[in-house]
Amino acid sequence: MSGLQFQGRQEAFRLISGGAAYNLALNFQPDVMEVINITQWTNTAANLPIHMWFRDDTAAAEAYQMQVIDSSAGASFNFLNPTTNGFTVADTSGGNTAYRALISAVSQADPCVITTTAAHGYQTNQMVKITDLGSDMPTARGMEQIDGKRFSITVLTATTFSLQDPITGVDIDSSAYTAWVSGGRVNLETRANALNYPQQSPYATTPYVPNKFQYDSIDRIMTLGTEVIGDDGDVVRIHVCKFDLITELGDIG
Amino acid sequence: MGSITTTAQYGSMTDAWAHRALLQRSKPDHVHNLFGKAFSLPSKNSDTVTFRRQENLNSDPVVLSEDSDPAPEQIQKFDISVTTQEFGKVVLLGRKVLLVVEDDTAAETADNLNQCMHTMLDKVTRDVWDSSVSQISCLNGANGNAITELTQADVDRAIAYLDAGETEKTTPMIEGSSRFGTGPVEAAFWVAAHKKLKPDIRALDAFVPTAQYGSQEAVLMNEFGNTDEARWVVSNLVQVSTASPAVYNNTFMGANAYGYVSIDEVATEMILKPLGANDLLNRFQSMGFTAFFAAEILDDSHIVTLLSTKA
Repeated sequence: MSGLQFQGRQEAFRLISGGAAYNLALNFQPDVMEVINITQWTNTAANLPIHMWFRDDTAAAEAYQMQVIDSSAGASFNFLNPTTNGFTVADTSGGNTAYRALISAVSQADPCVITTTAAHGYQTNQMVKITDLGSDMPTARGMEQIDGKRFSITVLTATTFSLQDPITGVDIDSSAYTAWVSGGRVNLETRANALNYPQQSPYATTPYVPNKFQYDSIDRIMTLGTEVIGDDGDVVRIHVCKFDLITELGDIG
Repeated sequence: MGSITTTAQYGSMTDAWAHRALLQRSKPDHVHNLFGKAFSLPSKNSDTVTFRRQENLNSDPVVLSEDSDPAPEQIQKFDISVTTQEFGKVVLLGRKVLLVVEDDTAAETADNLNQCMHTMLDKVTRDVWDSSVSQISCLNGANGNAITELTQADVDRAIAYLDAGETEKTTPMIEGSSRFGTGPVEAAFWVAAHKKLKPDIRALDAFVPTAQYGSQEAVLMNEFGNTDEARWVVSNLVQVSTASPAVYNNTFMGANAYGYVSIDEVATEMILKPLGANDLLNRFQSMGFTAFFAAEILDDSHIVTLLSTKA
C-alpha cells in the first residue's frame, strides 16, 4: 500500500440538517461536492435528493440539483439549476487582519470621543495610536495635541470610543485642544494589552482576550444553502473530492 | 552536383541540443527580515512566546520631604503575545523526470525551494507590518490624490514620528572620504519601499544615491540611497495595494521595532526524501521545506508606514 501523498483528496461527512444554511469547513479546496439527502431519497417533489457543485464550472451561488423520478416507464431525470441558496464558496483570506479606522470626528470634550467612518472592531482597554492630524500639511487638520500619541480606549459604540491616558487611565480632556477639521487615522496597537489593565484571569466571566501576532491561514469553507441542506431533521451525506489533476482535453469533436 | 549530401536528406538526429545549465531564475529582493530582532523558542515548550516591556517611570522631579517617603509608583507593563506557525511547501519528482530530463532538476528544485522559503517568510513579515504598523499618509504632494506622492516634507513627518517615540537609529554614520563626488551619510533609520517608487525617491530633495556614499562597505545589496536620516532599501515584495490609484507602503523603522520568532532546532528544515521513501516501486522522490515562524511588532513607536501614491 503506497502512502505517497498527491494533491488529490477525498472526504465524506454525515450530518442531520438543521434546516438552515450551514458552513462546512474543509481541509482542502474541493473540486467537486456532492450532497445527498438520504431522508428525501424517495421523495419525488419538494426537497431534491442529490445536489452537485463543481469548482470553476458553476457560478458561486449555484447548485446543480438532480431529481430522480421513478415512473412506470422507467427511471428518468430532471435537472434543476437554482441560482440562489445553493452552494457558496466562503473561503476566508489568509494573512493578517488590520484593525485600523479613519476618523470622521473628534470631540472637544471631556472625555475626548473619536468617531470613525466605519465600525472599528476594537475592545475597551486596548490601545490605539492616532496619526495624520495636526498642521504640518497643506491644510491643517486640527487636534495636533493627540497626533502621534498612544491612548487606551473605552468603546462606546461600534463607531465611537473615548480616549484615556494609557498609564493613569484618566480621561483625556480635549476641551481646549485645537478643533478637529478633517482626516486622521486610528491605528490599533494590535495584539497588545493596555498598560494599566489588570492581569485578567482566563477564567473570568468576560476575560480580556488580547489579539495575538498570528498569521491567519486560508480556511476552506463551503456554505450549503437552504436549497441544498434540506429540512430540519433530514439525514444528509456529503462527498467532497479534490483531484490530482483535471486534464483539459479540449473540443473532441 | 546532384550527389552532394546535405542536411536536407541527412539531417541531425535530434532537433536541438539541450543546454544542461539552467538559465538564471529571477530572485526577489528580501528586505523585510533584514532588520528585526531574532528570537527562538526552546523546543518542547510552547508555540507561543510572550514579551514584556516596562514603561518608563514618571520622571517629574520629586523633592523629598524630611519626614516622609514619596508615594510609590506602580510599574506599568506592555505585553505582546506571538504564536509561531508552520509554513511549508513540497515538490514531488517522478523517477522518469530524473532519468530522462537533461538538466539537474533535483539540484535546481532544491535551490528553488530554498528561495521560496525565504520569500514566503519575507511575505509573512511584510503582512504583519501591513496589518499592524501605524500609518501616516503623504499629504504634501501635488499629484491630486488624497494620499499624494512622496515628498521630503512627508518623509520628515515619518522621521518626526520616530523621533517622538525616542527611536534609536539603526545604522551608524558613514564617514566621508577623499573620493571626488562622495560624502558622509548620517546615522539613519531604514526605510523599505517598493521598486516602482524609485523615481519618486530619487526626486526627494535630500536624496543621495549609494554611489555617492563616502564608503561602500556598509551599503546593503538592495539599498537605493539615503535622504537625510533615512536609508532606503527597495524590493518588489514591499506591500502595494490593489486600489486605484495604488497605495504604496514605505515603512520607516528604528532599532527594536520588530522581530521574528522561530522554534529551536527545527525552525527551518529542508526535507529531501530519495526515490522510494514513500512508495513501493521507488518511482517518486519528494523535496520540500517547513519553517516555524512568526513576526511581531515589538514597539509601535519605533516603526511607522508612510503611505504614498506615485507621482
